[in-house]
Amino acid sequence: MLGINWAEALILGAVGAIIVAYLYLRLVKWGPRPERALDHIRNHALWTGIIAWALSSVAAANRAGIMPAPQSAGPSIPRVADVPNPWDTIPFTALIGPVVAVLVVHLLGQLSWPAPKSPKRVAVLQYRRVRDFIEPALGWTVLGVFLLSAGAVAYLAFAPGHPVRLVGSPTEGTWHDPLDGRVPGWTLATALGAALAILAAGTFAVMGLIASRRSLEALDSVQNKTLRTVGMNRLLRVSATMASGFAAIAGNYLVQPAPDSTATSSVNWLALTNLAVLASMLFWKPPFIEDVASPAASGPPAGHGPGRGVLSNTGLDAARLADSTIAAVVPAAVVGGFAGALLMTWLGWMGPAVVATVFILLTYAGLEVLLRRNYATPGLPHKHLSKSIPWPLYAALIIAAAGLAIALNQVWRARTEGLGTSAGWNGTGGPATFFDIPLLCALVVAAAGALAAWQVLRRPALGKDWPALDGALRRRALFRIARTVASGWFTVLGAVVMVLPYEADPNPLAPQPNLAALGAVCIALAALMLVFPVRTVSPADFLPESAETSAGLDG
Amino acid sequence: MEAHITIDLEAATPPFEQVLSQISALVAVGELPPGTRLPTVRGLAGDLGVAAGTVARAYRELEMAGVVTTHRRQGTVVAATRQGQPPAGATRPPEVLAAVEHLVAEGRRAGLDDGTLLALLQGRLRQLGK
Repeated sequence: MLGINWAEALILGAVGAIIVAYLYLRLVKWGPRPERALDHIRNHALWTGIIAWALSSVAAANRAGIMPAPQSAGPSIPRVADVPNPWDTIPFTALIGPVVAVLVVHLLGQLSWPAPKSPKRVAVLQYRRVRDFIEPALGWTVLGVFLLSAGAVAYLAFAPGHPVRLVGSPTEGTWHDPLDGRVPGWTLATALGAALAILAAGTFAVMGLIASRRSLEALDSVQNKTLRTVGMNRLLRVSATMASGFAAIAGNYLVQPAPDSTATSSVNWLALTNLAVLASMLFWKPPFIEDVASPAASGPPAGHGPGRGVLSNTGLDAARLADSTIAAVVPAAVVGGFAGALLMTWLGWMGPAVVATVFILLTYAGLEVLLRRNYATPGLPHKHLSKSIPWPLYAALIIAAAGLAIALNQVWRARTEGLGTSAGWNGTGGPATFFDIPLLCALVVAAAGALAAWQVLRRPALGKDWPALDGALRRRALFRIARTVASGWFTVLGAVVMVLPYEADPNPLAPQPNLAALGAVCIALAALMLVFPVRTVSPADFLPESAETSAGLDG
Repeated sequence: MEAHITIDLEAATPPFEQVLSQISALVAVGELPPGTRLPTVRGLAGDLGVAAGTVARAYRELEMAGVVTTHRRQGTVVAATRQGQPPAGATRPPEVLAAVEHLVAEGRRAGLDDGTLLALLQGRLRQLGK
């Protein structure tokens, strides 16, 4: 007899309530009032995203491929575990169902836009391509998430299975707990691969539909384009979250210990990545469909720069791109951490930290290139930046650099004068690496920071109407780069200080330096530097040039 | 700048002819330069709320007139030169464009809508053609 799964019933109930509420709002509350058409369109786009998101959970399949072991011995517990059919451990409905549900919701969301009703019909003679409506940073991030998930599934295919271990006493005086078994990896990889392929193909098909579906007659061409971008944004975000969810399921399977394993704990890095992707996608805002009558939509004042439909939203869009930096930086840091983990043989734990830092800096450089290509005015020089970085950040950079110089000098002395007993960095490569590797890491961080800062400084101005905003965005970018470089240097400093060889004072009463604590302080400073708050863009940054002077005088 | 077309379903002119004439006009005045990729038949039909066959017929006639060409991969694009005619730039002498501007300005001043202006011009062209 089937029991009721209350957690699933609760989720399904909540989803049902959301759908009923939406249908009530759509069919009863939101009447056909032309003056509120834009609100209805915004609401429709939002609710399509909410309903798809509510249906997107693949958590019910998180133990796919794992064979549960009986938890205690007793008369009803068999002495020998049954070996089930591997396919019976795969909950296909829980894997494929959410994919189909999300795609169908987005499909219906696009197909249910109203057809033109007026006898006079207007159309823009422009060929619409899918890529015209994808925000570049989001598109690349989603592609990265899909590739990461595909890689995890491919790796999973080669993982061996192992049987359930029953509770028992293999030898006199020893005892082991029951341990779940797992089916051969290719079985789960086939199921996850199929779900991922359906998700990718379906997402691409719905993207094609978003680009090609009819335009709405209640919106102008700019608003229609924004609406398509909103649709792409919501679809890509939920698809990326589901794709990383499949990787998390693969990770859950992979961390399942083997019967002869002595490991007492394990970390599902793919599940942590899934959480990072979930958080990034949750906060990755879609663009806002501006009202034609609003000042933001009408762009700069008449006679100053291009009008609506050409570059009018340059400033706002550039500011939005700069504000959404975190959504690209977090996945980059996660990917960098994984890439750095591959270098741990040579770099120790500095590997993930430093490579993640370099990836963050390269992401800042990439975003600056994006800003230059999409929003800057070619050839337009920018104003000289005054106080581009606040003094506390300069101080942090100087302290980190000076600390590194002192620590590396001490390491050099240890190497040449034979102080301490260090055998080399991370125990490999001989004493030379104890100096070379941290120096190399510090220089790589500095080089990545210099590259990113160069991109910021060489970018032409956004436009002659946005001098304050251009300066603010440039300062914010330099601030982020400087704090990341400082964080990277503090990380390297902490790593060096923790293993720094020194001559202990033979006098037991003399104060001995606690280098481990000092190294931990450096690591804590590195973490704090990464979240050193950057100032937000204020309305004053959007003032035209003439008003900038007076605003500056006022404040 | 984006090129628009407008069709009026209540007008006496069939929708396919409205699409045909407006695209021809946009190509003639250079608003759709050679090589411009036009929307797909289904896309344009969806935006205008007409049957796909209506737009397909207009595209077919435009292709027969040498205004557009259809490629398997690129879709429908504005032709580089019209068959049997000099390049598009040579068909638009400044004085003709000025006369068109003058016609439009005078029509607006007289309160005539676009449809009436077009009908007047087409009527006069037919008279001259006889």
